[in-house]
Amino acid sequence: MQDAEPVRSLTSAFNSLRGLIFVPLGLYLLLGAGWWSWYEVWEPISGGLALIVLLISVWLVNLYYSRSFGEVEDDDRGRVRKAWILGSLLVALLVSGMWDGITRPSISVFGLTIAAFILLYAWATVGLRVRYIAVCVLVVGVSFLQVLGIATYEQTHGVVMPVVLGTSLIVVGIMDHALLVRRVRIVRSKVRAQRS
Amino acid sequence: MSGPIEDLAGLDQLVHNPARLAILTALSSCQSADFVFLQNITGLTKGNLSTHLGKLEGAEFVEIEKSFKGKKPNTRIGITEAGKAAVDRHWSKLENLRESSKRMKLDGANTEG
Repeated sequence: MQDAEPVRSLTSAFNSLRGLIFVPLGLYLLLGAGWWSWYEVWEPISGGLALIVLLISVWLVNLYYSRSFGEVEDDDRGRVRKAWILGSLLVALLVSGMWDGITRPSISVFGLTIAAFILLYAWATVGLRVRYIAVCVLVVGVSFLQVLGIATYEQTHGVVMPVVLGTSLIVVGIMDHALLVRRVRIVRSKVRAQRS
Repeated sequence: MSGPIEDLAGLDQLVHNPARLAILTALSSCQSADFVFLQNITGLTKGNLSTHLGKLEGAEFVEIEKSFKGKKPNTRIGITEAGKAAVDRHWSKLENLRESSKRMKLDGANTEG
């Protein structure tokens, strides 16, 4: 093994590259988007039903990763950084969501907040990859749909945003997973090559 | 200033083994990792990996914690301060070795030219 970097970067980014965890979340957003009639037909249990399916799916994905790839506990610095990002995201989403709900601005502050956090998350964990920047640009674009006269407030927040976010989460999650698989393979082949 | 031959001779053979070096390098980048993760990145069999971990534990470079998750055994491995210092020192020596080799090559090329 000539270089420490592939092993170090794989290990430190390991938990962030378990991208299949985004897939159930993306599906949850897609299922809840306002253009499916099932949600209204099954109300009031549709929300709870979708949430149960989400939680079970996330648990199953975690189990798959644990059994197939193993587990890594982040070091203190990584844990603190993620806690800060997650905590700040939740507060910011709450505040921006409430703001949009009350003021109904023509530019979605909620959407811009999500776009900012996508970049922050990527920068702090897996790196500013093109796919994260692309998702950020898409979400910013959706945030401006209302001011451009392309969609109403309800269409933007009820349909377009969940569909764009849901689809993006699924695509990015699958790509991150593929990157994890590739990196593990690369590190393993380097170690094997040195052993022989 | 030592040359590359001296640097090579000074490498810690316990750490220099490719599998053990990968194990220590990975563990130095996290709080702990489990057996399955280390097996994945090294490509070792369970027996081989256990042997390597045993050697590292004997040198007090890693700490091994065995528990159960439900009925499944779970082995977590963390690096000690001594292990972290050893692997950092090792990579530093390897880097010096690379630099020395480059300098030797340049000197050789200049002499021939």
